[in-house]
Amino acid sequence: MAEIAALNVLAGLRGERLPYCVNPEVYERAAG
Amino acid sequence: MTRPKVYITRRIPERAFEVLREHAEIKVWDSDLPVPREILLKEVADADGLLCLLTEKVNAELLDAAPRLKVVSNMAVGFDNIDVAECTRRGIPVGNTPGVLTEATADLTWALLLAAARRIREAIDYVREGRWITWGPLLLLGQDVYGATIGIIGMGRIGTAVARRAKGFNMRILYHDVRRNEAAEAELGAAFVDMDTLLRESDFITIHTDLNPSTYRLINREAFAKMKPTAVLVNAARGPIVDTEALYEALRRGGSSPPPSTSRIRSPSRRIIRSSSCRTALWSPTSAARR
Repeated sequence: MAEIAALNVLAGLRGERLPYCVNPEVYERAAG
Repeated sequence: MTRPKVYITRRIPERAFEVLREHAEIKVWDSDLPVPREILLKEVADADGLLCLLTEKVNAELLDAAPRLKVVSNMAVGFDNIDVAECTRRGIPVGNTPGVLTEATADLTWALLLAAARRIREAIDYVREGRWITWGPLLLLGQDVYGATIGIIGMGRIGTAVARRAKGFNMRILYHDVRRNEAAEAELGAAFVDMDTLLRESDFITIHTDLNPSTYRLINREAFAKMKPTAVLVNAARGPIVDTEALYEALRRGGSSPPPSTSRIRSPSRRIIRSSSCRTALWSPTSAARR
């Protein structure tokens, strides 16, 4: 559980899509 | 090159630290208790990432205090502590940890259900207090789970996992949700019913829905009034889904039948916990976690 939370943080720091994201629309906004 | 900074709001398992430490400078609120708000607001001032728990409110105030924040990662399935719309508006992705607690939460639900049905807490107290002398035909009579009717509110992953266990007890499975779960109906023979039917016909009611404006105090006075007097209620979801005052009244009404029992009321008042008329209620902390 904590590891998944940590992987989400790492992805966010790298500017990658979070493995488990509750607001994926944030990427659409960025792309638009 | 400067390493990004991550603030972690609670002591978490070491493996997660290792994952982050390789790539970021991390700071942690090294405690089993929540970080005080004023400290959190200071700590996020230079944070690029935030790993938080349900106890931290991530709202506009916090986001204003964290101008560098690139990601919020909530170590929970639910995220009602986070203003997701505000994060989205600011271009900040929000993460959660879905699925990992499904079976643990279903196990805990069943632990509480069985404990309430068979009056385990009362029985343990009875023995510990030195009151047990011998068996009696009326001593701590419980109620049968096998073959009874279970009503599941919220037939998502956790609700379905609870239903799978119910099938092993040969139970009639009713459920209510905002949408039908046809896979659960096919696999488990669960029947989709309206809320009133579920409340009136269930011997055991378990809650697994998320907390939102439509589920806030979903189980209120009217809902308790519709339940069987012997109904057992297990709330394995967010506390505010059950109206605590209505629960207290229902527990006090008990009479000769065991009153409804429940669990996981967030911060139940000491009045309720200590009330002698609420002896059949079980209070459990949020404990269905995994490493």
